[in-house]
Amino acid sequence: MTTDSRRYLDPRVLDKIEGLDLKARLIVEGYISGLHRSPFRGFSVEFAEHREYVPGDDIRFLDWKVYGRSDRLYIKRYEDETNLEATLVVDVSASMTYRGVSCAHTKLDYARWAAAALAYLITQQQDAVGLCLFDDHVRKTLPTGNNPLHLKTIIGALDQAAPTPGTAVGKALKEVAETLRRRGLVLLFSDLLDDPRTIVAGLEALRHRGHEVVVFHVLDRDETTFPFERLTRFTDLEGPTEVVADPEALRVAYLAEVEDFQRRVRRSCLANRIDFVPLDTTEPLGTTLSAYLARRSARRGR
Amino acid sequence: MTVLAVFLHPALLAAGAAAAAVPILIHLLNRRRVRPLAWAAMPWLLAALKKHQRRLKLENWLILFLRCAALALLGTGLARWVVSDSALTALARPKRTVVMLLDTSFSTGARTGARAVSDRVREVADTLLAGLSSNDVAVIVVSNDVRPDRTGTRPAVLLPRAVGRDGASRGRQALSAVRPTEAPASWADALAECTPKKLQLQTQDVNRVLVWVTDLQARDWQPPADRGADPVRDAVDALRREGVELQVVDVGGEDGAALPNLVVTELALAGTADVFAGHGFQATVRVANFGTKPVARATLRLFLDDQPSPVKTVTVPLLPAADARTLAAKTVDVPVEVPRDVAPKTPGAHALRVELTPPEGAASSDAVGLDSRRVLALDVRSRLRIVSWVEAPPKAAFDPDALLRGFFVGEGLGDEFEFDGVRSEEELRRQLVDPARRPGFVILGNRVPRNPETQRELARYVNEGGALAVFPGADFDETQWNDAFGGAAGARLLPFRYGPRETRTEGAWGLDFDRASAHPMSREFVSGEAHFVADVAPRLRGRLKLLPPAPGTTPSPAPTPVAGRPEDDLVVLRYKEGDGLLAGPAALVEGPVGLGRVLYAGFALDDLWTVEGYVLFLPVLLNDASLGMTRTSVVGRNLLVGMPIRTTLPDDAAPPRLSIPGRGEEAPTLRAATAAGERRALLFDRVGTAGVWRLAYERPPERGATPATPRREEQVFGVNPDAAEGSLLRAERAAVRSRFPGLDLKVTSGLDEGAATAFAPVREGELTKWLLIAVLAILLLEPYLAMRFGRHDARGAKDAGGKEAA
Repeated sequence: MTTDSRRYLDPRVLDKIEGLDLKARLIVEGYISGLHRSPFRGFSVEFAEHREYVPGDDIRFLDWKVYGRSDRLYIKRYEDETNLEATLVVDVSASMTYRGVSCAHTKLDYARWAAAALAYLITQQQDAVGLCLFDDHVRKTLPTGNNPLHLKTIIGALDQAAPTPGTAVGKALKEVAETLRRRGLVLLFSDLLDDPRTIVAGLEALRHRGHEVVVFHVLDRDETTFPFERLTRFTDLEGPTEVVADPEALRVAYLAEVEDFQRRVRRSCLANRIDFVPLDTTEPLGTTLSAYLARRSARRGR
Repeated sequence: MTVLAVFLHPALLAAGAAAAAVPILIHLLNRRRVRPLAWAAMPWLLAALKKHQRRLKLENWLILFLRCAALALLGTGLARWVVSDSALTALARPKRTVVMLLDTSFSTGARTGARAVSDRVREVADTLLAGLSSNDVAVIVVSNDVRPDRTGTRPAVLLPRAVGRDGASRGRQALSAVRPTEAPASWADALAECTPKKLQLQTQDVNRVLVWVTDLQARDWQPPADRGADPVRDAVDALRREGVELQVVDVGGEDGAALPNLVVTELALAGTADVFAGHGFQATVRVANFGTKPVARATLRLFLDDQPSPVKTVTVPLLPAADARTLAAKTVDVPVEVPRDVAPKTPGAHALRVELTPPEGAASSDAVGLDSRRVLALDVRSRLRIVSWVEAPPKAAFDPDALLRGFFVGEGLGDEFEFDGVRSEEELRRQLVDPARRPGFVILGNRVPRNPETQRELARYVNEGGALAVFPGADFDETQWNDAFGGAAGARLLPFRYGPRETRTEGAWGLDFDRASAHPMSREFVSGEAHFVADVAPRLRGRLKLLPPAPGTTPSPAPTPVAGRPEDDLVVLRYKEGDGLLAGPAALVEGPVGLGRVLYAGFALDDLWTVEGYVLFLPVLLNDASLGMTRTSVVGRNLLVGMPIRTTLPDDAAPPRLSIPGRGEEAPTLRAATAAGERRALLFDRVGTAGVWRLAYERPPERGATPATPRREEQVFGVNPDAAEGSLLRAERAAVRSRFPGLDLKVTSGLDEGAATAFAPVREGELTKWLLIAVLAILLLEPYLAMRFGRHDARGAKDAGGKEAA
């Protein structure tokens, strides 16, 4: 696809495109086609080479023998496997149905697009991808697969996912961790509107089982800027709670809460070597994803 | 009913109305701005709310506090909080209540050049009014009511309780009426009018001061003669007990004693109590100089009635100066003769006026002009017509008519009398019924009218105002007399009757004037030329007892007896008893019958004018009796300013008109007669102006008169100011202060000092204005803060930990 297709990757434009698979394809081919190698690596037992240690590398792969000989730190690199198994874990709770005042799509739409795009990318790389949909527990699970029909099934499941009230991210992640039999890549798409402690516990559960985790924190810009001025009656999308508040008076405190939450989650992710990627639903998805994937690739030494 | 609403601070009213709209606008704005929004990030929102709950609570508490404070301050403001002796007093901009008691008595008319003391009184009051602030209260009380339809003798409130600038404006209007009245002030009454209760002052009328603006006339500040009762001190104490500070402002000035002040203290007839039309008369004018410099050649002018030109001008050679310290003056009696050619030509009510002025070319005019004038009401008589019906005893060597005629109209006796001696009863009756010949005085001697018609006419003559003298004689039938005039109502002639006749062949009864009698004729004889009674006592051979009327025969109103024997005030002569030291029975009595008068003698005329017993006192007796019994009483016709006019009118008089000097005419109210024979009474108690007051009325034509034209009659009243009130002697300030020991009375002079003292720093202040301003500020601040703090209300909220959100 030519660069002209990039203009179709504006979220406002994507919203007008029918078909999630087409959107995914546009995203990937519009933005990610420049990548020659998969940015996603799998786990292999075949040693390939050493490379110098950089902070952030898994110290389990440190070659202590080399260190003993040279006093320098090196990571063992293994041959990548084409048997990468990635699981898309998508939050379909009611909170994901929030749509900003100036936004034409919901957080769930955005998460779908992102998940579909990555599913497409992974499948293009001949790797396997699976799907989990959750709200306060796992609602639907599709095992990993790497054929086009399976991709279509995943995209179809994403497309038809109906939001349900209730959110329990941490609990759902623990369920996913117990469900996945093989180590792989877990891509989480959620607004993480849950107790951060449970979220971190869920993520750690996945890491303890050896999975690589990437958290895509999907938020609407309204939720990160709280731009409201008039006295507002906030009605909870997932419960009976109502709050009448003066947004101007609460803005500073609210943003502090958001920042505090993200800082806690990001710190926990960093400590567990989990990539934390904020996704703003008003930003072009391709730009955001490609930026992340590029960083990921660079980190892997490519 | 018209309700007048006045706002002392209209600007605040407008500000309050505008401020009242602010919360409504904010509420309306807030209502429009509530926006519903389905929200996902509720945990963060709730966490933000909870995290700042404490701050929100503080903000809510602040809003609540402001609202409560506003209500509390509003209530306190409405309660009119007054602070005393506090630093807040200065903040409160203290309110003052100034009661001005202004001297408007006669003495404030004293002038120095063109300015009178009353001008200074007004100036002080005006200065005080100018010093009022917007919440000060002012009241003006005058010692003598200056309103034109008032007496001027009683105090009055000229300006009722008035507040601020409006009060000052109304006060100035009221001050324009302040002028000197013609009566002295009663300060006890004036101070009693100044109590807060009388003036209807309100509780919030604090810092009360009474500013007493007066000329410090000495007589006002003298303590009472008896050291017991002091009404002025009592009134001052009452004011002090009600928290009223007292301050005296002296506007009399220091030059009072140096001002010229000529006073006429008295004006009276001299030598005679009767003035006949067309006859000259004499008067005595008593004058004095209350100034401290002698006055030579002062001019005394006499005026009759309303004539603009004097009928007589007299120069008073010298009026000695008054005592410099006490201003006590010696009076000088100036005899004045009014010659026949200028005397009143017509009988009736007249007035004599005198005016005393400094000599022409004098350096300064009289300081108090009103007391340099005086009026005297006169009753000028017409010639008195005397008719006698007297029969001499048989073989008398004299002619009674000739003797009597000689008593009244003899050569050299003047023409005040006209005498006619009748010889028959018929002739007497004709004279009684003829209006042209109706007598003023009838003498009966040794005769009793037998004709019933004559009896009735004689009784009517006396009851309608005529005078009658009755002397019995040898042929006088006392029983017949008593029957004739003590019987039928139409012919009654009481209040005396004749008793048994006595004769004496050996010795004689002597006569004596009753020195204890209150009768004017007896007093006049006792104090006058009565020596010939003792020197040449008449000797009487016969006498008749004089008795009061029989019970049940006295017509009403009966003469009112004075203390002692009922007939004592009517007795002129008594018989001598024993050695003459004891008063004997009545020999001559005189008293009222209806509208006239009757003199009863218990002895015959011939007992007195026999050749041997002829005495001079008989002509004097008859002369005085005729004049005294026919004289119109002027008692009550000459009075002082403030005294009421009391008089009676004939029953047939039309409603009268009262002419008041300088004010025109009024129709006074008459009280109807309550008994037969009683005249209608008139009482007019608003006599506030000196001068000649005239009461005029019409009566029907006289019976039998031709042509039958109504009669116009008039009564004249001479109203004079109290001469003592014109004294310019001022009390010393030490004497003023010592008048109220223990009071620490402030006495200041002049305008500035007085005004400054009246507005000295005060003790109490009201904070209402500041409290209401604070309320207004809170009411403006509260909605703004509420808007800034925002509304926060979480319902059914649970935070991220599952706990109920606040």
